[in-house]
Amino acid sequence: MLHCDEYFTPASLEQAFDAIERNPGRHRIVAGATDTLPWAREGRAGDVDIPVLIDISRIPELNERSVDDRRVRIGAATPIQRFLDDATLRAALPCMPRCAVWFADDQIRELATIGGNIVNASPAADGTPPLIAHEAVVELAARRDGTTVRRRVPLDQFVLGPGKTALSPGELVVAIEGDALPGYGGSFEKVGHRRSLVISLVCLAALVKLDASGRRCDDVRLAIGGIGPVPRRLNDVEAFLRAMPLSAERLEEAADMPVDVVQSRTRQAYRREVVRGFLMRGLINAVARAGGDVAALSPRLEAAYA
Amino acid sequence: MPELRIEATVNGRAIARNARPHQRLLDFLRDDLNLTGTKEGCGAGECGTCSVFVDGVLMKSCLMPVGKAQGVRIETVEGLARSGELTVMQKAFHKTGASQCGYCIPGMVMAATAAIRANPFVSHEEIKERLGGNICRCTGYQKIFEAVELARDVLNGRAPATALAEENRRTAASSAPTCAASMRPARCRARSSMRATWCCRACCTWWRCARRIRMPASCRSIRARPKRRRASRA
Repeated sequence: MLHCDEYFTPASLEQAFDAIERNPGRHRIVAGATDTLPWAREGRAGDVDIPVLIDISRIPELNERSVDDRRVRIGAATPIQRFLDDATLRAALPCMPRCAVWFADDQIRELATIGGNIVNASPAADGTPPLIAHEAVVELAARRDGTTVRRRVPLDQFVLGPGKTALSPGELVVAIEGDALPGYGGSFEKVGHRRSLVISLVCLAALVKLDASGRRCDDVRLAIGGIGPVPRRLNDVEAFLRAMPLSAERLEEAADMPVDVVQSRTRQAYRREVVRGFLMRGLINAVARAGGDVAALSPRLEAAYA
Repeated sequence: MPELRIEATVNGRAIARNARPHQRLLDFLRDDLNLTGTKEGCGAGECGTCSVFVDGVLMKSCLMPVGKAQGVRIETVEGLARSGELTVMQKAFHKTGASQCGYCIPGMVMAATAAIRANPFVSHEEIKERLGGNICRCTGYQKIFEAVELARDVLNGRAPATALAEENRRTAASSAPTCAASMRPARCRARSSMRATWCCRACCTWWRCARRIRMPASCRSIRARPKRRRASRA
């Protein structure tokens, strides 16, 4: 069970830094708290004593969002459900609504925050692969010698390993900024033991933009999670798909490419199979949503994977 | 003991109480406000029987530190209908026999109510999706889905209100009161500081009550499971 003496809900970043400075080494930052409470239970961390919990979810700056033609900036305390509700975010981040549908369940999506999902740095985090595909940058803030210092770290360099991030002591994730990609077709494939509330065995985010002919990819972005210590982009597959017009053979060839990507501790053979299937299905779904004609590509493929 | 002042609205009533900072909203509702219709199943956010509306949005109260309840409007299963009455959704659960042991039903009713509030014409598949965060170990879900569809049709006018009428085997609610949380036959009057209502053995809060029971064994297995192996940690 979790024991704490103080639960503090700062109303601004300044108040949050004050609280962090007052309680060095005896605080924990929470936002949705949906991972902290189950963690502090019998069978996992057991009895946990954290003197001060600092709940940053009500800081206005962490709940802002702004979208322009090039970039999307979302506050770190944005609940996952907003990626489903908010039409502006849905248009700018074509992968995220499909990721959010798979994320926990209705009740938890309203509490859990995107910043928390990233900071937990689970190898199976659902939110990270789509954001990596959007080339997300994490904006961090800390107080150093009385002034607030901000820095920006690309998301793929921010997540360092299971539970490890580039966050330094006293630092908070303020916002996540990614490419706005309206007009892209997005898909998110995930497998686990059941539909709701499941930790990904493998998850794949795919984004495709087609040119005017509908046969050639202007841009392809693929990111995968659950297969190793950290989620990662599949740059070589992307380059391969961008090089030539799409065809059934090229898709199958691309799906066979990432043989070394699976570096998980368990079930490697199964995960390799899944990665292959997911690449096919993710690409086919993304091409279809980008306005491409998958049936023309190959009717056999659509029947098998869509 | 350090305390946290909580001012909130619970089932339409303004409250101001001291809570302990480590409490979850669930503990606060059950132990401090005696609103025991909200149940603790797994305590890890997987079974959904602790679901409550927070500012109109359904959340799991076992995942919510009580500090998050500061200044919000909370609606629990006790607050859906007036005392002694049942909502259409609750009547539909009663009618279709969706409640067996009744332990998951408070959460099921809340999730179903949220689904109907979001979409009065919610489809079968959407109902399944919306109830995805709630676990039932008795019914196999079929009768629960039937209940939600029945309530949906009555609420949106596709079915007459008489569809909810009980067959004569079960007499009117006045002679055989039903627990508004679990939809099981009520045994005694709840001594809740918030609401006097009929309650089943699982919802009873009176410590001397001879009929009071704890969580049924079938549900206990959700909670007391062996040390969790994080299979998907890659």
